Amino acid sequence: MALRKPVDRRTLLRGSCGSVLALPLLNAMATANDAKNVPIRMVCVGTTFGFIPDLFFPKQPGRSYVLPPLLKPLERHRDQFSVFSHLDHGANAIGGHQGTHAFLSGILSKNSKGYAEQNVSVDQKAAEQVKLETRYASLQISSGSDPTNLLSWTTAGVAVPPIQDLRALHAMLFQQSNLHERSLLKQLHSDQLSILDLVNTDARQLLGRVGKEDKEKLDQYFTAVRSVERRLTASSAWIDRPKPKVSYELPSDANEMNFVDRIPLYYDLIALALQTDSTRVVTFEISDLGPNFGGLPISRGYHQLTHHGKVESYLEELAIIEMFHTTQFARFLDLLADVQEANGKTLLENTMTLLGSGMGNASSHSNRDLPLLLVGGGFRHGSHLSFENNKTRPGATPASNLFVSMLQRFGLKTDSFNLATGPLAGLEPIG
Amino acid sequence: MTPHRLSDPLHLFPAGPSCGASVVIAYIVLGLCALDAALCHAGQLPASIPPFLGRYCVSCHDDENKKGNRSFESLLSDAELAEGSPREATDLLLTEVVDQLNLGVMPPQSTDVLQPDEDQLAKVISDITHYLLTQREGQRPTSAVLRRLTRYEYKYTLRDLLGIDTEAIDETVHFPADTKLDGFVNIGSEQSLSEQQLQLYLDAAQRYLDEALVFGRQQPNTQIWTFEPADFVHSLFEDIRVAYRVLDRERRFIDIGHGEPVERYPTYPMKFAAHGVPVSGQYRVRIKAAGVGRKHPYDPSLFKCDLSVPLKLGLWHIPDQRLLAAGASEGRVFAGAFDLDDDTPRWFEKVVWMPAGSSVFVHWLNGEGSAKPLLGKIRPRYHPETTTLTDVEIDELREQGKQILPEQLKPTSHLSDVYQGPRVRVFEMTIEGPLHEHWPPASHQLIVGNELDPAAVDVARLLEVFAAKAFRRPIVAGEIDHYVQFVQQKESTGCPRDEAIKLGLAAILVSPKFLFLDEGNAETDRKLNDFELSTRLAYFLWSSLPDERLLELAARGELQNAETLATEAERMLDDARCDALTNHFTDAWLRLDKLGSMPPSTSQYPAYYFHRLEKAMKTETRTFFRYVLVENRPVTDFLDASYTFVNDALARHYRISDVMGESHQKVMFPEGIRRGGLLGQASVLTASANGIETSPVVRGVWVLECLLGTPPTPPPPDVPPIEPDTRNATTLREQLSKHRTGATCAECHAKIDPWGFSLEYFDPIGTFRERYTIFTGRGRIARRRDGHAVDGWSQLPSGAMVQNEADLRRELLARTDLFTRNLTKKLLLYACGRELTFADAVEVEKIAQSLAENGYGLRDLVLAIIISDSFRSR
Repeated sequence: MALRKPVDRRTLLRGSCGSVLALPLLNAMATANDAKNVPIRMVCVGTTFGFIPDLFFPKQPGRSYVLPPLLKPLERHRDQFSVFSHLDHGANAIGGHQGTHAFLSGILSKNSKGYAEQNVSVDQKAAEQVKLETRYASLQISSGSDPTNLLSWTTAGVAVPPIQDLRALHAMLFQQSNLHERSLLKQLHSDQLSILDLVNTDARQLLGRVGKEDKEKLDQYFTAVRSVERRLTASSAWIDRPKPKVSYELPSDANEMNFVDRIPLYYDLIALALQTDSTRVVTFEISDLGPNFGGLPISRGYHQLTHHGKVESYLEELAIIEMFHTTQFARFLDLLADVQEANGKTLLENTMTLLGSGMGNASSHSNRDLPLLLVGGGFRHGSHLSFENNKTRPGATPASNLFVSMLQRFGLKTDSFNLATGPLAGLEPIG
Repeated sequence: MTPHRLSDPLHLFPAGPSCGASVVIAYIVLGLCALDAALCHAGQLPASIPPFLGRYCVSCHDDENKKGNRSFESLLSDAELAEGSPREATDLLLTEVVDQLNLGVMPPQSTDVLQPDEDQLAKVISDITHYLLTQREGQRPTSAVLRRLTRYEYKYTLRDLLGIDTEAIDETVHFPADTKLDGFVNIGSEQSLSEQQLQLYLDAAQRYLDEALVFGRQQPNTQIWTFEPADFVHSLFEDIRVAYRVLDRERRFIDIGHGEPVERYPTYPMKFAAHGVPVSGQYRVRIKAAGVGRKHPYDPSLFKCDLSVPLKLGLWHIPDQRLLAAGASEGRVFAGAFDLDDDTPRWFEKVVWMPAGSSVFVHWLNGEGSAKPLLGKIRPRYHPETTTLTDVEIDELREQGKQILPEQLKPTSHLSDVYQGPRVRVFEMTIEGPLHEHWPPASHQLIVGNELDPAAVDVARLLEVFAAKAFRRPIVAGEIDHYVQFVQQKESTGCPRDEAIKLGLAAILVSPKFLFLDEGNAETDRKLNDFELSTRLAYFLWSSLPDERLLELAARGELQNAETLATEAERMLDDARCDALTNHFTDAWLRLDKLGSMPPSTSQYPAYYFHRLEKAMKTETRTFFRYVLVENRPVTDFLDASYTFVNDALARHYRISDVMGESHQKVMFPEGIRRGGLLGQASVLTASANGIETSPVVRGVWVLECLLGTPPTPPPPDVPPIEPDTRNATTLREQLSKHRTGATCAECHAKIDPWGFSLEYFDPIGTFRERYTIFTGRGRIARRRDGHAVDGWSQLPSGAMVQNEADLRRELLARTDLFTRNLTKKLLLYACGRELTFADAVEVEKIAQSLAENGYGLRDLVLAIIISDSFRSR
């Protein structure tokens, strides 16, 4: 199918020609000014309904593939990304809409018990590595609440709730707090630390009373107490450090704007968060259009359009939404490419940015053959890596091998991640 | 592949390559016979079983063919059994056998398959059942794993412990979702506790205590704000906008001419909204309003809103005035809907808790949406004198050099003066608050008493009383000394005493002794002690703390007495807190938790939103369940009933006339309305669809899982999903038969789909239909036309023919025993908060049996569960 319906370019590019974005030069940032200290970052973007396979996957393998319609907006970064086909999580992440949340872990939440790290997602694994070096170990952002599209999972098997509120996100990153607020916050942290000390005693008392399986539950409690203590201590250390100053103005009605106008704002804030080294790991969940869905020339709901039954008029409208996604993603890459960092590379090159979904084909509710595209991050890019010949099970390459490659590049000394069998063959790091 | 969880009998027999945790094989469904355990000896199969299996089953289910991944060869002789195929595995297999025989699924109805006669069937079912029961006698259930409070349990517990309105101040919305086991969230073994969750417990505890305690504070003054009609408009335009809101020329009222549940342009007191209420608290909002123009002189086909019901006023409050913006919707809090009398103004009131800075807005809830297009039609046809040229038309005329008459620029009369269509008319609004019936407020009194001076509080005593309530048992000497010392030490380092007290209390609310339901150690004693039992009972019926009376009975050691226990349960069932059981059990059992997760399209099913059907349908099922429970109606009412509970919107959805008003009322189904029982309820029909289309497969699975308790095995994971192709629209039956071309698919689907076909008479939001609907058009509301006729015919695996949903009800009623056992199991699971084991089967069987003999009352069932051994054991 080709895209026949002309799409208003202004609709797709909304946000990019506006005046909202003025990324300041931040090369003076203390943490990023040393060429050797420029950190590597990881951004994962996951859509809830995936992409129409015909429009997303190139027909030819290798470097000289023809850009499929949905990847056209990314054309100027062609040498900077790889697109993968015939990769998925196999039988471990099958569940239709209830399988989407396994996108970054490869394991369904309900099956996570019994694995050493449950269904931990690649971003949370990476965030463990960052520790206390940034204000936020990772950020989870969502354009709208969708419980089936929760992508970040901790080693406790629990989803990290994403932030949807743009104003709150902006405040977390850039709003300076005054002396009074800071001392209140410090007091709060120290009070909470004392409380944890008290209840630890209770947990030990309880331990003497209960049965064997109950002890495992209490172990979880002890672990949680230790983790919160660590994090409170860490964030206390950040309280007195001023937040970065940026000359970015978030529209005051940002949260009330419709889907089309809000999406670029999320990307703006993600780019700024990375550039200011406020965090090095970001997950962005793009879900249904939500109640405020105006702005796209479509006449049916997103979910409804994915039930297209191959009817052309449905596919055309669905393609409009998906083109919007890839166009906005391309605009985000433009933002990153415009930032020069101290190691002589762009922020785009210093960030591995993943675009994809836990849904392979929403029309059949298939969690197979996931759309996966990786940009930057120090890999040799420019190819379409097809794993079609590697598909016969057993022995198929799991999609989580890509996550092993990403984690290695992020600095983890590991050959494994959940059900991965090793790094992804064919994806070569540079240098 | 998923690692096996060996503690879990469900995972001993993976159905295929997958053994997903959600798969429940019906492992304790038993036969229809009386309990007589003396008939057979443990460990020895009754003589009738091996020959039966050999004759009717093993030709397919042998080690070689292993159909459905089941072989019964090991059961053919006692000798092999004795050699040690594990007993639990044998029991599981036999359980499945009896299950399939009971359902009538096996042996398959096929001419080339030998069929047992009814006597043989009854005999073998009875024998297997006896055997299984003997096996299970003497086994004890594994104990419940330490349960953490679920989100809703936490919410209700804090409400009762602190005396605050935790629905209004709901911190649990930020909590991570609880892990579900087939819809149930209160199963200890499935729960986890994360760092995030613990941090949120810390934050919530402090937030709630700040709200509950008022040390050193004077009672805030109660204020009254009164809003006149003119307060709701920006400025007094002469050119009055009927499409939105209009101020009466004499300023007696404003008319709201637009509206729908999600309102873009709400009506609110404008100056007040800029600052809102000064402090957080309870406020009484009163509104004087009427409906006008419901009976109007215009062509009725012009109106798309339903004018056969009263006009309704919706009241909202918002924490932040930015939520008044046109695009806002999340964060607005719906406070209530009021049915308006025609023409006669009446006062309505609602008490709401609002945080500081909040303001309120109203609008016409069941109106036209935007009235602009409607007025565009009415105006030129009925009121041409009010029309003027638009700017564009003026420009065009000027360009063409034509003359423009004065009346073309300025109308001779205003539309607002002559319009007679439906509008909501608001005369006055008052906000009064913060309200305090007494000072200190109930929350402070509950925790501290009347004392407002922290210096006069006995900290040790306060903490002990609070901890005893929170831990749901008396405090052991010395147990909370560290809390007392902490508060004293905080105070000695300069922390104000009231803040120090709050920190001590907050710590108690984060203690594992509060967050987990401690049910002791089963290895030392199987029986729950008195306090543990009172806690289990309270969390079963109320999802909250035991009250004082229960704790007293527990302290006196009287709760273990079955009669006392039953009396207390009766008392608790009649308490409003018992709504928790109704709401959360139906959510889990019927999977109503899925409502709202795949919402229907706004253009195809606008009524779902315009008439707030989701809320109405959920309320129907909850009211229905509560009625069956309170009235001790037979559980068969869930399968078929002559009555239900609807409000006006839902009544119209069901094509029942003459029901008026927002609140649900009991109605008898008129002749010709094909509803009755759960399968006629829109909640179930919507939750078992996906908002876009219906599927006999999904609804078939729903019937098997939720009603009969015999869930099908899940599809093998390597089956490629089929992509629907509706370009050459075939019938649903043809599409499904495509699904079933592969033999492996067909085998299972023949057991699933027939249960769902007759429910095709209901669309994705539960509207009755004879024909499918084809939606066309690109407008805001899709156009509809008729498609294929619904074909609800099917043949159940037992051979029974089902033409429509009435036949399906009949077939389900014929399986009342399966249904009763399933409901018993689900209630027991919910009550104990643990997965059931073989040993619980004895209890389930006893309960179901006695229920059948005593009229199937739901209240009896709940009471029987409460006095059962399973419930009273750790």
